[in-house]
Amino acid sequence: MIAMPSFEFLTDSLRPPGIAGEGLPRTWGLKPSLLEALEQRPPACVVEVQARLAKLFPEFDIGHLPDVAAGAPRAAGSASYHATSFVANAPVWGDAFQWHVDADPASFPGGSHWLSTYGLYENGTRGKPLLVSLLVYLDQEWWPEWDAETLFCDADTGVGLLVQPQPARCVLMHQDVLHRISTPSLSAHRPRYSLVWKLVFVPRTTSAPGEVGNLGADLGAASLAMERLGDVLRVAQHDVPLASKPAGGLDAVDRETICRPEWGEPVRIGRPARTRSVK
Amino acid sequence: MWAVTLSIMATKRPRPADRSEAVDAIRRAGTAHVMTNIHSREMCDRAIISVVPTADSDVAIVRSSQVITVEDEGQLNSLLEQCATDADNRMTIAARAIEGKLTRPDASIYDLVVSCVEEAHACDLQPRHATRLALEAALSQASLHDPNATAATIKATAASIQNCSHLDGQGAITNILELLEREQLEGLALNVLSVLAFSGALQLEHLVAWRTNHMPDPNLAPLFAWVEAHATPPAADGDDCSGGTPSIGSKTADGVSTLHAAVSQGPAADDVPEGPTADDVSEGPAADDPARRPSLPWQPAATLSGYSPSSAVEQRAWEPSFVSPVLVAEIGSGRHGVVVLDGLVDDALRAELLGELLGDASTALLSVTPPSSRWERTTIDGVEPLIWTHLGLMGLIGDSLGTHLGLPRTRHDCYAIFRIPY
Repeated sequence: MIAMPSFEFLTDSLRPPGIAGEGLPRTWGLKPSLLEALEQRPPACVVEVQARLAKLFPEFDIGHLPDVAAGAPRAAGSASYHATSFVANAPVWGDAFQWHVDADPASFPGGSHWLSTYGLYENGTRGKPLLVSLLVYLDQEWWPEWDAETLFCDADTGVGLLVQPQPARCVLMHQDVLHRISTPSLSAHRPRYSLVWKLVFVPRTTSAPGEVGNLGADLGAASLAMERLGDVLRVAQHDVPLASKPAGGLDAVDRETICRPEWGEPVRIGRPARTRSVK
Repeated sequence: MWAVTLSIMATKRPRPADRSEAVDAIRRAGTAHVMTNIHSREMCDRAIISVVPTADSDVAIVRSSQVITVEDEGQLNSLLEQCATDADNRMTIAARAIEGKLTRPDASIYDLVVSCVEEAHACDLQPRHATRLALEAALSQASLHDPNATAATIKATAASIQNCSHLDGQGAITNILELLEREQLEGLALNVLSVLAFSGALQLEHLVAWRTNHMPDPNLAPLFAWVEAHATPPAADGDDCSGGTPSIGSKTADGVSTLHAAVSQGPAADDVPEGPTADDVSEGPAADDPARRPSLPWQPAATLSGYSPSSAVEQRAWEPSFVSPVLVAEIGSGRHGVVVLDGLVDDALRAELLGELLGDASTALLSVTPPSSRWERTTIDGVEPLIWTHLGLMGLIGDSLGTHLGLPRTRHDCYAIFRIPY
């Protein structure tokens, strides 16, 4: 067990300045009551988008991401992990945005109902709920020189991709992908409006190789979870010889993903999922 | 001459129909025990203390604290109708109170049932009303994305489910599940059955037996896990507490208050006309034994029904083939999917969505900032949560260290802990 002085030292010394965005200006967002209304009393257009999404992904049951911290012991003064099921952004010139992920089921708080139900797992683990965000660009027009792209990054390699806003364009992303908004240029002279659904895609087939199971929040359980998740990750990434993978690739079998096979082989950005021989 | 036997319940909240003593008295009785001095067929069994057969009829001895007489059947029917209206009014009051209490996004079905029991009691309603309120709330989740699920249909479905729950044994569960399937509400089965189990409307041993004889949907597994952990054999001494069902409101033999009898219901309900005392109920959630609290009150199906193509109302012709994948990518070793799609949302739909965000502020598009009537500058996009993807399971360890050391857990602390190299 780590001693208190050491703990405090680590806490202080390892805290990078500004990591929590101290001093950064807040940005424009739809008022919480209106966001809640989108979920509680969804207008027809929201229902239509959801219905289309369900039709597009028939292999999943799709729902709003719940409060993943529900049930977890929470120290007084600590903030909730949960955000609303919708986020509406309107970045304007001068705003500042940070790299972040929307949610990561491998880091949900111990003792939560979510953890009791699904255990710790890497987003995309076969048979487990896949956390997905749907972003829709809503401006009637948006020129490339107005910037405000959505940026995605592989932190390990420092490379990524960008998506320029276009009217009615949609971006589906795994919620654990590192991303951020870029600020509109001065020439935009307007906010860039977007609406984001925070979703959970629950596979209708529930077989889950590498089942993690329910875990408590104690340190021993956490260590066990580390070991078990390590197993899952190895199976998913490196340890299964290519020759033994079923036709269609390991990807299609062992992972839940929004990348539908009929859309073709995904472009791989950043560290490759598996090493291929170049001999 | 008609007579109505009555009993009195405690009340904590002003009631809207107190203007009529008769209505109030009948409502307090819960079920009006209507009879004539000649025929007793209408008499509710729960009021009967004993029945003495005589040469020409049975004489029923009933428990009554008050008798109201009415002149004719018409007057009686009018009175009963007022009672029904009164109950509706009280349920509306209770529903509003429940809604006010369950504002947290992590409110669970268990919390819902607890609140319904409390508010039903506070509004001087019967336990069956608490179950009905909880059922309606659970079923209303179907209406979130299904405009066809009106309040009337929800109430009707809740009534049907409650009627099904009155059946004995496993038949109740089978009938409820069949009913939900017919109504295309099978996605809510876990929540509905949880309401009935937590409220005591379904006895746990029946659930256990049903599971033994059937192949339940895997989605129901969390409920059955809880049921099996808490079901106890029925008391052999004639205990009338629902065979050991640890429903909300009961006081069990071991002294653990779990809120129970409050929520026994329907024709088979035991006769506890005075209901739970105010003290019983007020200690409900506080005295709620954490060991009995279900570890899984939440399940994602709560909001799923509206997302199913069968229940979502598709107002416009759209096919998946309309989608054009502009980019399909996987990023990093975690192979995080990113897909850019055109065609999922058309321009008309986009305009409607934007209209929802801007409201009537049609001039907002010409402004350099969003309309302050609907938007506020309070969002931090990128801070919450932290870069969990880098930190992975360290979060759990961080939690545990914080717990073991008794430190308040802040984001900064967590981040620092997460960065400890392993």
